[in-house]
Amino acid sequence: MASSIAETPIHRFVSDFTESKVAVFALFVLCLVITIALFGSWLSPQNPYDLTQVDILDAKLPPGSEGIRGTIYWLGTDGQGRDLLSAILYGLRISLVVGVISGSLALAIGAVLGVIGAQVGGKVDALIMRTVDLFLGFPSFLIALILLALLGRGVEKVIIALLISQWANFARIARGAAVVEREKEYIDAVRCLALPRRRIVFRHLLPNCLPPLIVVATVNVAFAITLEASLSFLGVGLPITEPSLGLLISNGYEYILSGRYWISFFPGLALLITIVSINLVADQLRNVLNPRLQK
Amino acid sequence: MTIFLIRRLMQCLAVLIMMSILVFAGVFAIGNPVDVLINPEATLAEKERTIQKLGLDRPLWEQYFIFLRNALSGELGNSFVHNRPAIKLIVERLPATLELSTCAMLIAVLLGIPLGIWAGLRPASVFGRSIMSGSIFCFSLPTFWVGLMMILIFAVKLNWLPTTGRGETVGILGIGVSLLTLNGLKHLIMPAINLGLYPLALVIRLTCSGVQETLPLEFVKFAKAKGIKPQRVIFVHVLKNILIPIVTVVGLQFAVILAFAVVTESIFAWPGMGKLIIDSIILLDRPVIVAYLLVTVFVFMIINLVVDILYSILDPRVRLGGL
Repeated sequence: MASSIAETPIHRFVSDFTESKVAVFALFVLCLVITIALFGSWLSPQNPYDLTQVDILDAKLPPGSEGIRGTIYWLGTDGQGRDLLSAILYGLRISLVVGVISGSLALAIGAVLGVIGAQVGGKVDALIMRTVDLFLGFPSFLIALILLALLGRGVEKVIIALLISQWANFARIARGAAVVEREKEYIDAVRCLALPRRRIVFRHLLPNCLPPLIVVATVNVAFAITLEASLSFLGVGLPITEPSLGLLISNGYEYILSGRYWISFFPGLALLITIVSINLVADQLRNVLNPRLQK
Repeated sequence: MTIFLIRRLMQCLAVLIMMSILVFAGVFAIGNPVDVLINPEATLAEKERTIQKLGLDRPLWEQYFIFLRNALSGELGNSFVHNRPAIKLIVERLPATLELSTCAMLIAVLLGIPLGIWAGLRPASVFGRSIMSGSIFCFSLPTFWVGLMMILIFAVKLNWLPTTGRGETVGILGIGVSLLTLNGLKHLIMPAINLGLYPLALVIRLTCSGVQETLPLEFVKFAKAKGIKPQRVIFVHVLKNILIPIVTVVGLQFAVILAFAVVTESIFAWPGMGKLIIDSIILLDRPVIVAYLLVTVFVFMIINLVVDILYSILDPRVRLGGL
């Protein structure tokens, strides 16, 4: 029984993944970050956007100081007297949500278009791939920036901008994988079964193109979070009512020169921990899922 | 080579036409160009005059050609804020951005290749491993946060470097260059390092994996067996072969850096076109946004062309394939 469990792909995947202790630790940190982001509103000492809980007299307090109501601000307060720890917990959730939603939507759209291009071929393929080339010719940051300049600020607008700036990458990789998979025998086999084309594409071809896409998707979520933070920092991303980590860092910009480092430092640290852990997990995923490196 | 060049130039032209249609569609067909390109505070007579000048009263296809002609002659309407031709504003700021990006890229290449070779030759050593983990770290660092922390440490706490702005410049051929004065260099160093961190990590990783993939190949063994000095094997034989992917990526990264300069320029108040575009977006100065888009597309075309030419010089196979 034990040996049959060891044979399953999931089991092999888990044992390959846990080979790197750094990656396991990164995964643990990532899970912690996600949990904190999910339950942030219960964990945080105050609701930083509820004006009755924020006192302007507590503004710009250094980390560890006590407010006038006796609360201790472990990470200090910002220019409006908000507890930074609470603001980070709230901001982390928005950053992660925007990153994950835009990343998964880009994955879905890109993968479907790429696989369709490879399967249908001809003019459809050419049209999709030339559009992809056009998008890949420009840095995604620039595409997102210009889109937001035209669309204005807002959560859904940021997600749309990140989606449009990233789908092309997935489409290219999916098409590459699909072109390789298409020639394999199992696809010939399902073709011989005279299954409808749609079913071949979505049930057989697409799932087998997923491994390389998953790696790229993980890295892309980290990239999307950075991108969103950068755009929000510049004041073109999320609105002030829905502050992500980027906006928190941006709030601290004016206080840097007077040496009040904590307003920018701690949100940035939270961002850094999130991105480093995602990238380390992605690195290990790449090692495990890359067929060229398999033993 | 000539045929390759001509073919490449034709492709560039095709992309430029494509982009001009996209920009035109975005501004003229989807949005209302009267709102986009004419200052909302303009008087009725002024509006009429601009509509005449930009040909907004003509049919759409005719408008496109007027737009093309205007774009080629640098007439994309005046900036609402500065009340000067938008293209001129962008082109004036271009040298500062190019200087910053070039310095960032130089830092990435001049540091990245030696560090990458070291890490590739001794992947198990402490220094080699710290280079590689350092590069993952550099990948993950959000540029704008690092910029702030650099200002905090080197300008506010240690007081070694100026916080923001561009220092003295020396005019060379009518373009201000800040590399030649101490004050200019002091202002340049922090933004350049800030912008260069990401490509630095990329170059290190590429060089390292390139060295590791090339070392076991037969021509390296052959060169070693011939008794060629190890330094020569690495810096001539191996390096020449790994340069091809590095040149491609450095070229593509240069475009990314030009875009990301927007962030660095905003933090360090560097008077380049990135800072201008952010100010324009916030002030809804749309003619400048349209002009920025066209100028960047043009610059990217040139970069891609240069990369392709370099590629064909480095790799004879590409040149033959192009013929």
